[in-house]
Amino acid sequence: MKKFIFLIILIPIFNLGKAQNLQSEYRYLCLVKSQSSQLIKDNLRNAEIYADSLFLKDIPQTELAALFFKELGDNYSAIGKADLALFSYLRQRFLYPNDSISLYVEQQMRINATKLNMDNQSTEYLIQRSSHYNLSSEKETNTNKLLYSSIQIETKNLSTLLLHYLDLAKFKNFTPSDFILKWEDVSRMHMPLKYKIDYVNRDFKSLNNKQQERYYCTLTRFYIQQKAWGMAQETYQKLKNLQPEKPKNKPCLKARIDLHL
Amino acid sequence: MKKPITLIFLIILALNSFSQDIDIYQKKKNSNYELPYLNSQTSFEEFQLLNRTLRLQDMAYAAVVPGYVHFKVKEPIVGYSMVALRTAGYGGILYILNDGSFSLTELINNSPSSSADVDKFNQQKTIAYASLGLIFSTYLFDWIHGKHRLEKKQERIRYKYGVKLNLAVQTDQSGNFNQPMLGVRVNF
Repeated sequence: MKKFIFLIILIPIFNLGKAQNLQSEYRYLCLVKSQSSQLIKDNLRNAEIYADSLFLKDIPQTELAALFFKELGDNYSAIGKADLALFSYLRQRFLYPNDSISLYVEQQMRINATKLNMDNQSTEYLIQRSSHYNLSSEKETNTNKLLYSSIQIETKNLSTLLLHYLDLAKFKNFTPSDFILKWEDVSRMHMPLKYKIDYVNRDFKSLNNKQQERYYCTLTRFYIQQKAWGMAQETYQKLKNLQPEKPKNKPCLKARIDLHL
Repeated sequence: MKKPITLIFLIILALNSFSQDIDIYQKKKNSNYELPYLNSQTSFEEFQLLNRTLRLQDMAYAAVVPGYVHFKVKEPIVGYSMVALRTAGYGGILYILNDGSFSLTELINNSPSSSADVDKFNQQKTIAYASLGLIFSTYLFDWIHGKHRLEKKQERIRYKYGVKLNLAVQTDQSGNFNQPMLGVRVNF
């Protein structure tokens, strides 16, 4: 009986503690939004740490979490990082949907999408896809949808954060879709953004010779960076075998592999 | 009676004497042993910035190492700019010394010998003034601007964690105090 009473006392205090942290983070975001951009920038690292914990845990204060992500988006928007703002709004809509702020968030998404030079059709598609009625009750499905939608708006700044979220999703034992896994492969090897979509949307065998060559070159460079010399040599051979009758020589790559540079 | 008084005096003197310290602000204890209370979200860089103060000895170091204060304040780009500018200044002085036509004192005092080439003298005088100007201005900029940047950064860090600490225990929007309490609440 004593243990039971002790537990009853502890659980509300534990929940209160978590609420206080989330509350203070949310209020601080509100407070600095209208102040100097340096204050906002200083706080973003802390806010992202908290956003990670909101992704990993299922907290009862869903309304506060939704407001937190909305404010995070507003903060990014205030310092001109439209891509990260859009990702924050998407996080709110996919992970903590809330109808009472939905109209405001949609409007902000349109404004930030304009800054990213997105066309109206893509923006409306993004808004429709992230609407509450299109979401599943499963967090795993919503996370996959979030990552898929975020890949559509990917920028150089956003890539690192998306890979981090993919890691968090894997940590939670979520199974990413094939599209996301393909995207992960080309992202990890630092494929330039403008070529990425070719490799994600199409089967490797259907790619032309130049695209396959670019893939192997990037992969070889990635292995060299990782000092995986054996793998680099193997990939370099594949690159040479692409056109056996007219083998492409990349003396710089060859030298780096041979000299372990 | 004299002996105990002398003893007490000696003890007080021993307690108030310290090991050699070139700084005028002496430390009474070794603060390296103190473990600071930190907010759990504080990054190492923020901790380093909070932990750093500019003291008299730093002023001396900044005279020797160009950009020292900016490196300390974690602004390496400005620090390296200081290194480049100070090197250019030293380069100018070296050029004058290497040329050997006029001494640095002659150039600064604007007193050429009667047989001196006036054009060359004026040219080297400009180089001497520019070089010395660069050396002193980079030193002053490094010290004054670096101190200003450190204070700004420390203020921002203190503001951030100070406000967050207060926000966590303040009232919510409906005016209720968010303090630990017991009770039953049902949300619909």
